[in-house]
Amino acid sequence: MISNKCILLVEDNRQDEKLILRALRKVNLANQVDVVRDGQQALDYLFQEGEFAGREGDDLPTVILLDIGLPRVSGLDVLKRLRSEPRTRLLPVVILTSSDEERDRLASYDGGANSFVRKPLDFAEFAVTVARLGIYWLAVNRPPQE
Amino acid sequence: MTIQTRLKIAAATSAALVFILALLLYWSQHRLASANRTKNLADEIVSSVFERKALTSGYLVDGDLQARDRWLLKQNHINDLLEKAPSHLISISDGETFNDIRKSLEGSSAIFDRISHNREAAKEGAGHQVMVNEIEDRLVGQMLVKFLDTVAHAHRLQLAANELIASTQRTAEWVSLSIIVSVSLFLIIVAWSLGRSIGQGIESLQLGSAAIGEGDLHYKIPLTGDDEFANVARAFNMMSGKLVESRAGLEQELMARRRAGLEIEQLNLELNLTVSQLQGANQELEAFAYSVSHDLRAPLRAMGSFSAALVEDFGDRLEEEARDYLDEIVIGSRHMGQLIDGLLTLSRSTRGELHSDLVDLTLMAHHIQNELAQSEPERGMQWQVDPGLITRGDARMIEVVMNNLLGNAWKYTAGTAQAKIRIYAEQDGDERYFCVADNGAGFDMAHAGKLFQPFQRLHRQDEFPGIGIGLATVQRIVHRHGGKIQGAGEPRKGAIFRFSLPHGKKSSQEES
Repeated sequence: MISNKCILLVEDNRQDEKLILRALRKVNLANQVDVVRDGQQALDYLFQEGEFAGREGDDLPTVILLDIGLPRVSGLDVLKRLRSEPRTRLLPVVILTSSDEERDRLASYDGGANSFVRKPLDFAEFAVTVARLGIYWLAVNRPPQE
Repeated sequence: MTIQTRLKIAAATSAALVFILALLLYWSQHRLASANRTKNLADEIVSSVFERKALTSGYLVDGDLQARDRWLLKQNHINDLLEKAPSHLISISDGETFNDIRKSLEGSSAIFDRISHNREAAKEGAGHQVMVNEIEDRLVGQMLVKFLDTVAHAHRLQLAANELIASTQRTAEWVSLSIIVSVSLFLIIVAWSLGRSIGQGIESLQLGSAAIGEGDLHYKIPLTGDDEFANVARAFNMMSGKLVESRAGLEQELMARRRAGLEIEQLNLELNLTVSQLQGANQELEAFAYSVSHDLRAPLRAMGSFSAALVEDFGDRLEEEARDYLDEIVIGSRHMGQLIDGLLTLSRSTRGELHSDLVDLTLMAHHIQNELAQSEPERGMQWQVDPGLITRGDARMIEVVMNNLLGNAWKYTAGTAQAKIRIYAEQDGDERYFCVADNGAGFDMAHAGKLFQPFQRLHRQDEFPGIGIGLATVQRIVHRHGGKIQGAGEPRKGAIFRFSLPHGKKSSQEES
């Protein structure tokens, strides 16, 4: 069952990407992660357009870890688009960002985010947070469609 | 001369002339009465003399003795009239005329006596009848002469009286007429001159008030002298002078206000410019803070995290010294992260809307107390938090204040045996101050000026770690609430920080 589940990580920062993947690897979740590096790529991936037209399988990820400050299409715009499409309307989206701004947090929830997580500065804390996120959304949380 | 005085003089003069006229009338009446009495007396004398003449004839021709007695009676009557005469006399010439009348009557009386005596002697037969008749004829002739004299004198008296009556009447007429004419003329002249003065005065005043009414406040009424109109004109001119002064004052004030208005407008423009510049600067600051929170944290996290990962994943292959260096990188990046977080909090404390929440500082202090106790469970601490420390303010910001002050108190009592932290409120004048006191390391008041400046620290990093931004943030938050914050300390004795939050107090008063 668990092999069917996967995470879509939308992260433009290579170092954060590496740290997130390392943390997930520590809890054996790394091979269930697809990575895209900006908002446009994320939309193409999800709607099988552009470079992802004809992607294998049309499954949606179990959860999306979405940064806000993304090139091309911002994280909040991606969220907006997802919530406006019937197919992705209920897809769990976790905002994972460096920002601690109240307006970002409110805008995220307002746009329909399921969770808002700030990337901790501390290495140990960061690793623990990411690992917990992966386990929670893949193993603990029950998604809308199974 | 005032008009009132002139009117008084005119009235007095007229009254005097009328009085003189009355005196004159009285005098002329008196004179006329006297003249009439004199005339009547003269008339009576004339008629008596004629009657006596008739009696004389009766006696002489008929020898009637009764006629003789009656003659004597008439003579007495005439004498009585003459006795009274002096009281009726007016002029000396009249007196002389009376004397003449008296003398001629006395003369005729003496002649009548002689005739009578002559007749008595003739009866007794003494002398010759011819001689007696001759003497009587002569005496009768003398008597006739006396009679004519008397009548002539009396007639003269009559004429004099008539003349007096006529002249008195004439004089009275002329004097009355001239007095009436002169009084009338005088009154006409006075009325005309007064009328002219009044007319001129009223005209001048009318011109003046019309000119001032049209706004010519510099107009002066050209009246001189010392009458009422001149007084009114002087008062009027003084009034217009005052009006000119007060108008000049008003105009000056108006100008000053206009200038002040322009200055205010100018200042407003400048202020608006400054405000928009400040708004621009604020937006820049916000953008900067945002990019700090986003962009600076990522590389920092990478540095610390990869160093830690290196130690974790490859620690067994690294020498002790290499691991130590990597640890320093982790510590350094952790410290920098704290600095960035502190800066963000500081920047956030001056931005955003200020809420007015009901804040329970007692409750807040207990929460923080628990957190601190959990962070270092091995430390003993005597807490004293007064109950009922409730105020109004922005709850999130006040939590930052309490976190910082209590965190500092906790931190600086680390080396103190029997450490104590006390949280209470005190009244100072109109202000209620909340206080956080500890018996920790304290500080030297000589450096108190640096307390609230960002990145200024009064202790070495190896004594008490910190980034030097907490109290700066606290001060900004208290100032945003319109309050004051003061710190007092003594080395190795402790420190007290107290702050007020009047903004919150004011809101709570408004709401209640």
